[in-house]
Amino acid sequence: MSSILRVLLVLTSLLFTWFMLRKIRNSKLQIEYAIFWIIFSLILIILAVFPELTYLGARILGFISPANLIYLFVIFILMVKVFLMTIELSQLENKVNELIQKIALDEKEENESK
Amino acid sequence: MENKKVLMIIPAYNEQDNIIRVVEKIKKNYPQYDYIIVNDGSIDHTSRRCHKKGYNIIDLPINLGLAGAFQTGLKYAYFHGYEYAIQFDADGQHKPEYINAMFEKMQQGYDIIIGSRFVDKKKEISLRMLGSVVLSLAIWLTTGKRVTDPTSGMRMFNRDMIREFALSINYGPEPDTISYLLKQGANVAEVQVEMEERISGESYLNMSTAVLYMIRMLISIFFIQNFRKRDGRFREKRNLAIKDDVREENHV
Repeated sequence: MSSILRVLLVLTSLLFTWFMLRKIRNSKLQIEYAIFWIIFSLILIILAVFPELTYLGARILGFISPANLIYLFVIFILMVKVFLMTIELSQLENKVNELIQKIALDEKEENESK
Repeated sequence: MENKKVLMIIPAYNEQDNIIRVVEKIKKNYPQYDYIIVNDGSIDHTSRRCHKKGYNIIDLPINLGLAGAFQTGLKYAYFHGYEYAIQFDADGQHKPEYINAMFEKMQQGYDIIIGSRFVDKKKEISLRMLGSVVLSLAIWLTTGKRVTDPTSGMRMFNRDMIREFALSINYGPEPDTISYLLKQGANVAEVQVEMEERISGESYLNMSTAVLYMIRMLISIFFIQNFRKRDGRFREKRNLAIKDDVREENHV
């Protein structure tokens, strides 16, 4: 694992965390949504600071380059996150549809009863 | 403005077996308190039974979860000019007998009164109590204040807190908000109460959600809450009406 990769991991993680905290500070983000990114950043920092962990993992799983394990790990986590977000988004859209329809129907009822 | 000062907010999600018993008890024995049921998009007969009885109820068309349902009740309290609001469970865990003691304590100038099971009594040693112990410790470490029952849902708020919780983001009725408010200089006190075991229905928490809940709370209390805006706005007692009005405008 090159030191450039390690430095990059730490820097982007810190940047991410800082960005999330700023959003919370400005009341633009719910805490629940920041938790994932903070845990994710923390894991990346741990992997960057203790490369032995990655070496060990690469050896056990039979990877030639430990960096590849990091890439795979990040891609995997992000894929799961995107998958979960797709489900959330779909549910959200469903809820918005229901709300719009309910408001419209309620207004119609109200007008007719006048 | 209404004459009655205390509003009981009763969030209800699929509580058809409990809600009537709970509300009848309040109506019969405690007419001095107003109540509002917030039906959190229940899919059972909660709403129908309440409407049939003519109860004071808000129906959310979609399930929002406890935080969203409770906030709905606080908005109602805020816009109807209530001085105090108390969160009250629809499943009969909370006993209205203790509201008066909490109200009395409130008069000593507190912002939040928590109905705690452990002011005088020791916590039993069990897995269920472990979470409570850890959260108490977390709040103590970050604020220096002792909160013996941080997960108690029975909390009374004054008008300042009603406004804060009703109109702002990241004010879930959870221990991490308590720790944030303590850092902001809010006065929080606890009053000894007893609670009933649930008679029927399911609790919001099960084992896996409990673990996730703890992780979320601890990260929030130890880390995130430190970075939220800290203007110590509750530190000084605000008797200045002008200053209050300015804040009011800022919120809208």
